[in-house]
Amino acid sequence: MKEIIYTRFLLLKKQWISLSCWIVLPILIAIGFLSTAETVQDDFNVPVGIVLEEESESALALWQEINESSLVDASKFSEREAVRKLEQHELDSVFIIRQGYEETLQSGNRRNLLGSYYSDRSFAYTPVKEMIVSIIQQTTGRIKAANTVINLEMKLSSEQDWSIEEIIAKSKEIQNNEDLLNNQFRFHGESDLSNNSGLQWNPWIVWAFATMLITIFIFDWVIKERKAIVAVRFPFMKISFPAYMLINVSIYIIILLSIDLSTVVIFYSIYQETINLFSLVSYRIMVCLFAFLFVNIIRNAYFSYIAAILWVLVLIVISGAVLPIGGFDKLGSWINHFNPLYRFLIGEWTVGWLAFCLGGIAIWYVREGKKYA
Amino acid sequence: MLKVEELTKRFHKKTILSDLSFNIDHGEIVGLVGENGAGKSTLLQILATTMKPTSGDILLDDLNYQRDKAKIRKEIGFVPQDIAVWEQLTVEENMVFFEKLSWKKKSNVQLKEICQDMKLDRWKDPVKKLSGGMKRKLNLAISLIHDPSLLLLDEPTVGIDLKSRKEIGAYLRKQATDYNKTIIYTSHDMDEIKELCDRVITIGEDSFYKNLLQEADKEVISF
Ligand SMILES: Nc1ncnc2c1ncn2[C@@H]1O[C@H](COP(=O)(O)OP(=O)(O)OP(=O)(O)O)[C@@H](O)[C@H]1O
Ligand SMILES: [Mg+2]
Repeated sequence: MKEIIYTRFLLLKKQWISLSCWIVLPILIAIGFLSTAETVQDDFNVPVGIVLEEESESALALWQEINESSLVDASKFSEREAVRKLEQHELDSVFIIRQGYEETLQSGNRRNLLGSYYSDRSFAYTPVKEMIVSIIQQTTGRIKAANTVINLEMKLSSEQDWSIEEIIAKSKEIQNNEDLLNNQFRFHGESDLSNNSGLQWNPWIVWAFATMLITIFIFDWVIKERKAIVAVRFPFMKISFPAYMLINVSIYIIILLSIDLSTVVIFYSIYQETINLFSLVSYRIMVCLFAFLFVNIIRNAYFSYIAAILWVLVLIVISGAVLPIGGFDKLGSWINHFNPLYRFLIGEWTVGWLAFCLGGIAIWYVREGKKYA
Repeated sequence: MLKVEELTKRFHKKTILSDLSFNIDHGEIVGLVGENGAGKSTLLQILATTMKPTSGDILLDDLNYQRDKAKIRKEIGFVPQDIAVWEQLTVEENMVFFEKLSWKKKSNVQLKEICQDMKLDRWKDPVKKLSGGMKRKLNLAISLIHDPSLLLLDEPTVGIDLKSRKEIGAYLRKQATDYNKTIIYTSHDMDEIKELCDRVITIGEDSFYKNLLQEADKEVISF
């Protein structure tokens, strides 16, 4: 074992610069992707026009909340101007806060609070509408609660006399403290309206895809060493060629795992993201064994690079059901069993695929053993 | 002694070697000659245990090829026809690499001696910068690390200049005479065969080589 580690380092010594670049690449890809995703998201606010027919406190409060959302870039217009801008496609859609908004709201009615204009190019109309409606629902919820409390108070003929405003203020306070009246609306599973944080990409998700790809690239040593005619010497050495290969796979696993541990520290310090270590370790071992089998099947370095890229693209698509990247959510859950990333993405141990790869390795070992017997 | 009895090798009904029987003593250098595709590499691979014969028995001293394969392999130094070394490593690193995986422990000094004995002195140079002759010498040196008693060399001198060829020849002669090693090697160079070999085995239909060597008073076994 010690000897094989020594021989591996003889070979690694010659390529340590390129190897270290490859090894840190998934970390860099994750960090790079996340920072671009953030910038893109900042730039990508839906422009919507808001028309305020009344300037009551409730109407202004609604305007304020819409304005604070990270999803939209809201501006106030007169109805005519808003419609003109919509026609010129400068606005995605227009929402009108109707005259009598506050009154209708207080009465507990939810109809005719809003009007809207949209065009055939208003692609964000529905999510924005849902967002505004959810804000209104929160407000009506509070008012309902307040009215309930007032009714209760009257029934109990308490001495305390609270106004609606006081009760709403109180309910907001309770909401802040305990989240009691909070009917948070998430839409498309992305945006959390209560903190307006927008889409949250986890660096480990990006890392998982990058690692699948880069590990296959790193494992091109298998192709190169099978091609190097040195394999013919192994029958006359104290270790067989397949055993030599497998021990080297383990050496790579150990090197890559130690890098993964620093990745844990890096992602924690940048993003405060934690990870289940068993999930990480089982994923890493599975990916290495998979990469080994992959290059053993493809056998040609350049084809293996192309095949690896295609494979990861397929994985990204089928992972669309798990991730906030849209995609094929209609494919249903059965496909998750075929997705080697699935268990890692949901934070579990990668059991099935690990077993599958171990089985593949066993078959490979027996077959190779026969070849060199 | 290497003892081959009624050895036959067929690839899908195509008979390459048919009914070969011969003995080779310790300290003997035997040439293996035949036209391209005659089956020289095939015979060497069978003698090296990396290919199974279709039928026939082979014995190395009292070891049987069918029963004692593992033991026999420790005794064999096989020099492949294609150069099997790490191009990216230096001569020294190549020797150390294969020493680590070999049956015998050797110090760096001992490894360097093997190379110097065959006049391979570019110890610290990467293999990819060496000439073809130097690479051939390294290809041979690596196969000798574990002190094998039976050397099987498949065209060890192909494509190299006369001086390197003579150096390798002198080295092999010394191994046979001083260390009593059995050496079988193939070559297409009849001058080399005539000069170096005690006896010659010719295989193949064509009797061209057989006649050529017999005219030069070589002892020829022909199949
Ligand atoms: N694994 C194999 N399967 C089928 N045929 C084979 C196999 N290996 C070799 N042969 C055939 O056996 C014959 C002998 O091949 P071999 O390599 O032993 O010839 P050789 O004498 O070494 O030739 P050269 O001088 O070109 O090295 C050739 O016709 C070759 O095509
Ligand atoms: Mg040959």
